[in-house]
Amino acid sequence: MTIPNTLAARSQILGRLRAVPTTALPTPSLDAYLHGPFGRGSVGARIDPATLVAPFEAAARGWRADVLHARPGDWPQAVRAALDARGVRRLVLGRAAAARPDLTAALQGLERTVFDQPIDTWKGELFDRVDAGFTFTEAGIADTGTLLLRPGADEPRTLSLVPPLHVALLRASTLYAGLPAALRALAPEAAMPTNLLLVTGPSKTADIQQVLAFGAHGPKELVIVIVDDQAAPLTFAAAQGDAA
Amino acid sequence: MSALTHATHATHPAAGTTSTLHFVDPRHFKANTSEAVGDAHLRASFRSAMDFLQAKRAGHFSDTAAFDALRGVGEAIRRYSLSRLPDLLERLEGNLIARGVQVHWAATPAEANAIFLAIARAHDAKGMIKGKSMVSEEIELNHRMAEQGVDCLESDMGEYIVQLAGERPSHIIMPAIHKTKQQIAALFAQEIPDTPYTEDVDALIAIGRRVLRNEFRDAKVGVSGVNFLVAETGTLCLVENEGNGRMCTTVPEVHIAITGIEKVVERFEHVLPLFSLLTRSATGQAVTTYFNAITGPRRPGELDGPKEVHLVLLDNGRSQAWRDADFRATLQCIRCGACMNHCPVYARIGGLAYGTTYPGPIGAIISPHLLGLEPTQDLPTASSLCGACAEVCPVGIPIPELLMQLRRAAKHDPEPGHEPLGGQASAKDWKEALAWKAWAWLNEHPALYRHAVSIGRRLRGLTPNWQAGWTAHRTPMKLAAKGLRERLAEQEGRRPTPDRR
Ligand code: SF4
Repeated sequence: MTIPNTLAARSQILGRLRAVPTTALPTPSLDAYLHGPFGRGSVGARIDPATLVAPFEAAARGWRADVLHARPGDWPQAVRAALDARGVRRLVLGRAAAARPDLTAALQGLERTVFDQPIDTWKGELFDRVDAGFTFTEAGIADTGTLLLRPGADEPRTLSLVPPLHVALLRASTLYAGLPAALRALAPEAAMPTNLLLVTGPSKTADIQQVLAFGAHGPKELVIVIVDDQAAPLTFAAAQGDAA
Repeated sequence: MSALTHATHATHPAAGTTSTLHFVDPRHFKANTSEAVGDAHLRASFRSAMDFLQAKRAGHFSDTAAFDALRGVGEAIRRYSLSRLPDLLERLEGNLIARGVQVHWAATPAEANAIFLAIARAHDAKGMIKGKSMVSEEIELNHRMAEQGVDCLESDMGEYIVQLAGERPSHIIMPAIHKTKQQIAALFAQEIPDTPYTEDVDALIAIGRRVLRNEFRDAKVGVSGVNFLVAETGTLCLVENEGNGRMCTTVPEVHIAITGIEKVVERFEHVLPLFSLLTRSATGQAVTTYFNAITGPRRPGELDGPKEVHLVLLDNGRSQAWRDADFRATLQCIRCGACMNHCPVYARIGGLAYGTTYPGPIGAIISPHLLGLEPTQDLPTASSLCGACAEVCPVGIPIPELLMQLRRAAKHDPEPGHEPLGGQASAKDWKEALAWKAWAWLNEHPALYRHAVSIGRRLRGLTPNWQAGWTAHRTPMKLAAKGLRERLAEQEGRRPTPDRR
């Protein structure tokens, strides 16, 4: 069975739309949003990320994420501690993380899987055997406690989705006040990745009698390790998510 | 794909389910309404759910000036996008194709279903795993696929529950809002193998998670809706809390998205205020757990994501609403559900009584375009025109005005300059039309009017108790012993003023 050619429907639909003369409305002004209380601190000078750590943490905790702090020299140990505290035995990480000797050293003794094969070859294992996934993040949004992820070849999409625990490393230097500020600075639309993700807290649902329950289909737990790197911003290969 | 067999319950409702199941035709709206208001269980469920959702939303929009400002932005973006709809659709299509997405157009639900079926067959898929999509409900995808031996399994927890029970969603954001946890506990224990009865919500969610995880892993085809389409980048944006939307759009080899043609905006930047309005209006959240922007299938070197992405663009009556300068506002909707959460009618009868995919105020204004006015003519009458819906609508849709226009369109031929809607004037009733004509004529002739009224007064003792349709739900009309004018005049101690014309 071949997929039907829908060009006839296309010309029918567009024809109906084109038959009506329209006067385009003027371009909308986003000012009320960008300057208003819903896009806090979004335009103008970048707000000092140092002042955003505490609000980020409060907001993230409000969504039931756990937040830990680390220094540039000891974040791998902080990650390890977070994993140990939750009894993680099998961890999956992307190629970028696996390429860091300091992290590898800190993870000694854990069963580690590097996500370097197409998911199709090991889906069962990923779904059924892995306890936790580790990712870097591209940015953090203080206003809502949100992580901005740009998955790619070095950090596939399912790393932050399939394992029941997601541990994410957030560099304090990448904190923005609000989503508009982050997206203005990062301008992802210039070269949209296959997947751009905003993650706020662990997966949840209130579909049964409005009772909030965590761990619906995605991770049951989200742990954010914030590295205080403002003095000397850290860079990771995966930060841009480019194909290796 | 063992649990995919659950999907068949959608076509064979489990025994012992309530009569609300059969509310599948908006023609039965009035009868359904009586039944729904008599169901104490249902009413209690909806009342508490609506109170909860109203309070959650109010927490975010306590500053009305700020809400109005943001709403102004949202409305401007939606109107701007709609005013360029055909151009944006073509740009969207071009950018999607450039990124490897296969774009399909469907004028009708049947065409959309044919596309789904063909894709499933091409991949030899026996089933599909679905994220939440009201447009897929609109085309009755699950039923149509089941008829062809393809099982669609819902994976949004609420949708999964509703499907397992063989029912329909009663709310566009919270599909299982009409069910209590006791009902869900019984349903799971009965329908899911090796499942003990438990009313613990965490345990119930864990059961759903366990069942559906296997399906995400094994399914070849994933289906999703779309919240926003971005023309300039060819991006599909999905907003959700559970992660099932990400699963359906990331894990299976094939992803089919379906949405209405009105969902497109020009720039990625335009999505941000709409996203903010959507989550706050829908569930009173500043953000959802996930905002998932997808631009094309898996690229070379990438290790996951679907290898094929399809987008089905459905018209199904939207172009009818679009071509009319007034009805076009209907398409501004971002499906937040706030209008139903605040509607006194919806709160009392629930979502199932409407018999349509979209219930409540948004259902009453969009369904006549999707299904025609003939079967849906009663829906726009289910409003006291209190205006609560328009007050909360985050994109400024003048819902009460549209309800009024649809009421007129159901009873009258189109006004000059307007194209007829499907089913225009299908509720026209010559007796009623004649009665109104006579009434208008009488009012134009003051002497005759006074004469008629004075005769009527003298005969008021003979007023019949049965007055055609009027007395079906109301007490009989009876002329007052004294008119308002006379009573006012008495109060002021003067003679009634004669009519002046
Ligand atoms: S009509 Fe307005 S309030 Fe109702 S669902 Fe649509 S956007 Fe929300």
